[in-house]
Amino acid sequence: MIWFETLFSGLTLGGLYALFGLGLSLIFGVMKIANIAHGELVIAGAFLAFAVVDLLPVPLWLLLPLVTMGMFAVGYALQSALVNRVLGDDPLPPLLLTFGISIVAQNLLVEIFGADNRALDPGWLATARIGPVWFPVGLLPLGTLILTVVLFGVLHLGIGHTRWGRIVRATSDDPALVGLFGVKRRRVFAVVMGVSAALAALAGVLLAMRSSVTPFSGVERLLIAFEVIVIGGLGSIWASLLGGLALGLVHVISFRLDPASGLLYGHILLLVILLIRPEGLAGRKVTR
Amino acid sequence: MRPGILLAVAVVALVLLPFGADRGMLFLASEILVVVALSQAWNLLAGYGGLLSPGHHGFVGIGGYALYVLTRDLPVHPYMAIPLAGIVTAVLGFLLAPILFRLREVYFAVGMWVAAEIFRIVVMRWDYTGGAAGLPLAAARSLNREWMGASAYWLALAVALGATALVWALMRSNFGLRLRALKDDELAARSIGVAPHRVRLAVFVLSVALTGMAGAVSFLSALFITPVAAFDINWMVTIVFVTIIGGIGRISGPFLGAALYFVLRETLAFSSSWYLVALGATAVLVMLVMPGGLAGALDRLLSRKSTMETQP
Repeated sequence: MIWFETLFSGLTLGGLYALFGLGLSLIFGVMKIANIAHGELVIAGAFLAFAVVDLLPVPLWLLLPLVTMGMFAVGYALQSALVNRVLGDDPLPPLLLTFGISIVAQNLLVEIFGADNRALDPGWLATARIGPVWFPVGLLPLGTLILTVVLFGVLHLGIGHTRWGRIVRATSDDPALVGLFGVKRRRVFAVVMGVSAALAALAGVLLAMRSSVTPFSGVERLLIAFEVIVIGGLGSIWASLLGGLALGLVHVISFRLDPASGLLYGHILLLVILLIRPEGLAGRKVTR
Repeated sequence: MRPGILLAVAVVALVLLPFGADRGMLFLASEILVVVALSQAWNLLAGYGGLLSPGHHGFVGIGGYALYVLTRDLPVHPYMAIPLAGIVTAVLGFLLAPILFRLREVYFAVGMWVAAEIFRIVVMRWDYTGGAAGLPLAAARSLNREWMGASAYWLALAVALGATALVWALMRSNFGLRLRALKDDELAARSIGVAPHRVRLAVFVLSVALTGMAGAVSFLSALFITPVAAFDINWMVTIVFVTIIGGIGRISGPFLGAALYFVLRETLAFSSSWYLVALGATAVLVMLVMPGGLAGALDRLLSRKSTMETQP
C-alpha cells in the first residue's frame, strides 16, 4: 500500500518536474539556446499569482489563465527586446544574457515581495480526495499530473500538426530561408518564448500550491528542469515527460528510503544515464 | 613607458601592499585577487576552451575542504596545503572527466552543475568532513597571527598572478593554438591532427586545479569552513559576472571585470539586492552592446598598440 502511495506521489511530482522542463526544452529545441532565466520565470509565475490574489480574490480557474497570459506577455517582451538581439551561431551570448536576466529578475522579486517563504492556498482543493475507498488520492496532485499530460499533448499537436507549428519548425531549421517566405523569425521566436514562459509560470503556480517558494527558489527549479530534459533526451517533447516522471519517482523513493538525501539520488541518476545512454532515455542521437 | 616596465611596477606595488594597507583593505584586496584567480581559471575553460562550466563552485568548495582536511590529518603546514588542494581538485577533475567528456555543450554544462551539487551533498552528509556543521582550521595554531592577513593576501596574489601567467604562457604555446583551433572549428582542427579529448582534458584539469587553489586560499583566513559557504552557488554567479563584464576569452578580462564588480559592490553595499540588480543589468547591457566586455572596449580605444592588453 505504502508503495502505491510512493508511486503515486512520485509520478505526480514527476509531472510537475516535467512541466518545469517542457518550456526549457521548447526553447532549446527551437532556438538552440539554454535559457538560464527559466527557473526565474517559474518563480515569477508563482509571485504573479501571489500578487493577483493579494489584490483581488479571484478563484483558481481564473487565476491560472490570468497568470499564464501575463507571463506570456513577459516572455514575448523579453525575447523581442533582449534575447533576439544576441541570437547567432555562438550559443554563448544568449546564455550569458539570460544569466544576467535571471539575476535581475531574482533580485527584483526580492525587492518587491521580500525574501520570505510564500505559498498559495488552494482552498478546498488542498484536502480533496478522489478514487476508490481503499486508495483515495489527492485531487490536486492528480489534477497537476493530468494537466501536465494535457499540456504536453497540446504542445505536441501544436508543434507537429498545425500551420503555426510548421512555421516554428521551419524557422528553427533555417531561419534565413523562411524569411524569403515572409516569416518574421524574430516574431516567431518571441511567441515561442512567450509560450515557454507561460508554461513555466503555470508550473510555478502549481509548485506554490504544494510547497512554499522564495525569490531564490528559481535556481533549484532550473537545475531540475535541465535534469529533466537531459534525462529524457533533447530533441523530443515527450522525452521531457519521461525524464520528469523518472526524476520524480527517484526523488520520492529515495526520500522514503533515505530522508536526508535531498536531491542526491536524482543527481546520481542523471550521471548514470549520461554514462550508459548519453542521448537520454528517449532522445535521438546527437552528433555534437 | 614600455608595457613590460609598467607591468613590473604594478606587480611590485601589489607585493608591497601589505606594508601600506590596513586590515580591512588587505582583506578586500585578498578577496578581489581570489575572484580574479577564479575568473581566470573559468575563463581559461570557457573563453579559450569553449567549455561552459556552471559547476566550478563545486571545486571552490573541494579546494577549501582539502585545505581543512589535509592540515587536520597530515602534518602539513597550511601554506603548503594550498598547492596540495590544487592537486586534490585536479585529481578529482581527472576522475570525473571520463563521464563529463562524453558530453558536449548543454550536456556537459548540466553534468558539471550536477557534479558540484553531488560534492556539496556528500560533504554535508559525511562525518569525515564535519557534516553540515563544518570544520575549524585545526592547524590555526601554526599560523602567525600578526602576519595572517598579509600572508593570506600574498597567497591570493600568487594564485591570481600565477593563473594569469599560466593562461598567458599557454595561449602563446602550441597547446594554446590547438585549443583555439578546436574552439573555432573542431572538424578542421581534428583534420590537422589535434586530439580534442586530450587538449580539453588538459585545460579542464588545469582550470579546476587553479579553482581549487583559489578556494583553499579564500577559506584560509576564515579559520572555519561550512558546506553552505564552500559550495555557495554565488561563487559561480560572481565568476560569470566578472568574466562577462571584463570580457570573455581575454586575459585582462578578469582584472577589469573584478575591478568593476567590486566598485559596484562597495558603492551599492547598502542593499544586497539592488547591487545584484545593477550587476545583472550590467551583464545584460554588456552582452547587448559590447560582447567583448570591458577588455574588448579598451582594445578598440587603445587600438592594438599595447600588446599586454590584448589577448596574446
